[in-house]
Amino acid sequence: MQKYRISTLIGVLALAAVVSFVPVTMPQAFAHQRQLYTIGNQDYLIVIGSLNEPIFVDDKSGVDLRVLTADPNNPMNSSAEGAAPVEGLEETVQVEIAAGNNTKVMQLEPAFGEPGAYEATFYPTVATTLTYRLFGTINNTPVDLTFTCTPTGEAGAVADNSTVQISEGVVRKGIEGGYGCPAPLADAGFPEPLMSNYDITTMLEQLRSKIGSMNASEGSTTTTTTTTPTR
Amino acid sequence: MNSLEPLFLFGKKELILLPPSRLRLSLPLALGVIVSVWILIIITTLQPAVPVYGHAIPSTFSIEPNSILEKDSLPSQLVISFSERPDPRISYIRLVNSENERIDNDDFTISDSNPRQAMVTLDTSKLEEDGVYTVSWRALSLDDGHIAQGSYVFGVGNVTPENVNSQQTQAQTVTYVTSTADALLRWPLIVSQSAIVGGVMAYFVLQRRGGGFFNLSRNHNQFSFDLKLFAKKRFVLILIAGAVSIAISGTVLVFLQASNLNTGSSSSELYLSTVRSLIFDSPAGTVWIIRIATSITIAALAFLYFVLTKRADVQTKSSSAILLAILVAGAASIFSNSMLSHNSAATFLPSVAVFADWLHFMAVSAWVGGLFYFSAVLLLSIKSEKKAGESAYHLSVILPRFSLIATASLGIIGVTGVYMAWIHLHTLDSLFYTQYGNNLIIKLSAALPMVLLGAYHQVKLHGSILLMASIGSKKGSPPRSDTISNTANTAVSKFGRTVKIESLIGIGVLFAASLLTITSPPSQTHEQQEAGAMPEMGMQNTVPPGFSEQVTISSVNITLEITPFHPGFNTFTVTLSDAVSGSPPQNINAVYLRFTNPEARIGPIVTTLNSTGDSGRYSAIGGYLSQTGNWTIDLIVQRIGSYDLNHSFDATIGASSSHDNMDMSADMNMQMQDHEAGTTSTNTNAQEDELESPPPPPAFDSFAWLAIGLSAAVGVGSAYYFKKSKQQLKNTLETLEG
Repeated sequence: MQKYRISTLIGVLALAAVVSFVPVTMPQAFAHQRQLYTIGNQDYLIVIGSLNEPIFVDDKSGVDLRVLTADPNNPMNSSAEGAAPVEGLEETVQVEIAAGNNTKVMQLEPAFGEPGAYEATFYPTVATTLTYRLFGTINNTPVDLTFTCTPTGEAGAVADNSTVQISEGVVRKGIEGGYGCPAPLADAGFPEPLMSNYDITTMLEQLRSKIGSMNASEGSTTTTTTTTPTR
Repeated sequence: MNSLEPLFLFGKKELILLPPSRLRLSLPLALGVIVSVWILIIITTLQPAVPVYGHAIPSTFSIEPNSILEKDSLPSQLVISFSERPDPRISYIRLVNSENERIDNDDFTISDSNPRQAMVTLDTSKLEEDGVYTVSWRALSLDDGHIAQGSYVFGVGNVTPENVNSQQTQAQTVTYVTSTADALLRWPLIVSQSAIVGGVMAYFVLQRRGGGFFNLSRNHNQFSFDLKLFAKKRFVLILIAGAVSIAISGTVLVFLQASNLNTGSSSSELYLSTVRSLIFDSPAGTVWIIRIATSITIAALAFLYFVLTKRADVQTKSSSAILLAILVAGAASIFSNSMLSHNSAATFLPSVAVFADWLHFMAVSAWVGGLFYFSAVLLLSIKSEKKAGESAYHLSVILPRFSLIATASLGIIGVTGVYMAWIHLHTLDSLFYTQYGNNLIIKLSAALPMVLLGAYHQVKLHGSILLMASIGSKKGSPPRSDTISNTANTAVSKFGRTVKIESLIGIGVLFAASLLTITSPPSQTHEQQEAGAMPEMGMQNTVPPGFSEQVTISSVNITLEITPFHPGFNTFTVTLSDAVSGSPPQNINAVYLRFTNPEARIGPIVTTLNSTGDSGRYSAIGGYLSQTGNWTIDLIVQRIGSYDLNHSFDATIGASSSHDNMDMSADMNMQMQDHEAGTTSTNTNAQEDELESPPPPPAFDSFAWLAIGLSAAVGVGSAYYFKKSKQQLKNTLETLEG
């Protein structure tokens, strides 16, 4: 009897897990960009975007990359039957993130439980265009590929089916979709506007500079001790 | 029972010793866990990222978004073709000018020749004024009851100068007004309908006294079984709870729909008016009335049934008649689902499609609902038998009887399901590359474990139960030992567990089915119109900007000017200069503007500004500010080697009569562009039929033959196993009779 109740309970819990999981996995329209390349003698579909889209400044995010061998019949479709994940690229490819004048090279980590998917986590601290540059080798062919977020989000994405020689052995054959750039935190604040850490730091620096100027103009010799905010 | 005593699990005729119970793996439990994990994995991997819901969305417009019309060829009507049939009582198309005055004649009608095409006639006298006009539309689909709405703009007359550079912008929006809540609310509805219809069917098939098709016994009364009173009480409670659940779900669905229709409005009066319109003026109301009426009928009859059966002297014929009436009411309730389903939108033999949909769900109810009845009502009564081994005795007869229901249902489900898949998918590829196809795969995958469990019951479990039942049942045979009786009871309990798991899986299958109802089949899904290009140019105008605002961000002075700043076509100019030197920045990659008017439900509309030279000026012309009201204009300046500059401007446009103020050069000529940049509409009434012909019926191609073959295989297989189940029942009765 007890076993009967336990098994029934487990069955109910399993069902509840299934049912509650479905809304979580229900369609959430997060945009990624798909680019089709011929690298070496193989077609690859590269799906790239950011983690946890749509992202705001100071949110945890990162590079969200999937690499698959393209389905010959449906090359731009990452869910196509003939599309196969490409594993092991964490050993041969790195990603450089660029924003403004700053760059940072990061290691790609394979996403747990998702063959062909890779991640590089970071926190975007400024609402600006982010560029992801993948470099290394794929299929024993040197690659140097750049992907840029669309400041206006997916609404601004432009498809392109032209064939472009990127480098020796690397040809781009198509672009579809886009992914958004980090949005300003002020867009999300309510009822008071939010400020990003970068904005706060910038304002503090400006304030410090003004105080310094004022002190200098008054001929003050007081030494002002400042501390840089740490996290 | 001593837990160390070896447990007997039987093949047909032999005893096979198994390890003690403490070491024994619970197969059904393990199966249930594996199945649940499997369903989780399937749902996770097959769910694509982008949602596709069932809706009526525009596929063609007689006046294209972003087009510019000449005054000498103004259309007399605006025609929009949708992917599904819009309900004329709730749907609308509205055309307003920049002062929010209606230009259409408020005579929304559906085309006689094409039920997916809707139109309004236009007051061309009001359309003769130069300016930007906004089209707003809303469509409540007659086919699936879902709502979509959207808007777009077009211009008339001299609204842009020459030297047009075509540019793609998104100047129309479509919003799908539906949600996962829709599917979640339908789930208890269809579970309850299944429980009612399946329960009553199972009652008739499994327990009837006297002769009948499923009895097959020389002694008609020997193997009949009637529920104990407490089990009947539970049965009645299930029927009543199911009826209440149908009524509640159906009503909340109506309120949800009304809420979707009134998004953005907080007026309770308007909300109640929408609810009234839905109930009294739309097919959703007809469906709701059917559901409420049948629910009340079912609940009342169930109560009456219980009252009557408590009296021992009442003939069972009355009770049977009442249950039959409940069955009819349940079938009508199920038909209300089919009335407002994707099948009603089928272009190929729609009445056949609707009938197939109803038959499909009736068969599902017989199977899944029968399982509910079995696990929640019948087993309760069987297990309460006081005589040793009686449970196994009755179960050994009832099981093969239920197999008859299951195999017949499976055949009907398979044949009707394949037919509906053919008319909706059209191609095999659609099964794998569309959301609808993927959801169908999930549903089928979830149903497969039920089939396997049913086979386990029929092939494996029934044998052991029958053996236990037959020992001691025949005349002259020694009485059952306690061990045998306990073993029999254990077998019955095992069956109770597995049938409960099967029922729970069935509930999951019905959830997958409810998801399918909010997904557009590929046969009805159309691509959204790509926006026509908006002519863009750098216009030299001498009109002072009506809007001018300057900000400084990261040492860059940014000025946004909008000229003349009225509802309609405006010139948008962004000037960038270094805050220190005053010179234009040299590292500008692109300048974007994004327009949103949440109150008017317009946007986001995005445009890229073009550089007008080295002066740090970037400009665009467009009808983005098509309405009076509060607009948010987001500026994004993308720079090379520096961070983007972002700023949001708030602009309020009041009612304007400023068309006269537009200082347009007399030399400006309208250049008519090709289809991509802008289209002159010279539609006449004759052209409305050319806009869109109804979608073609599914072709009789290889996919059709595959469907036919599959249907035949399912039908033949089902018939074969039905025959086997009948034979099994016959063998069972012979075994028990001795």
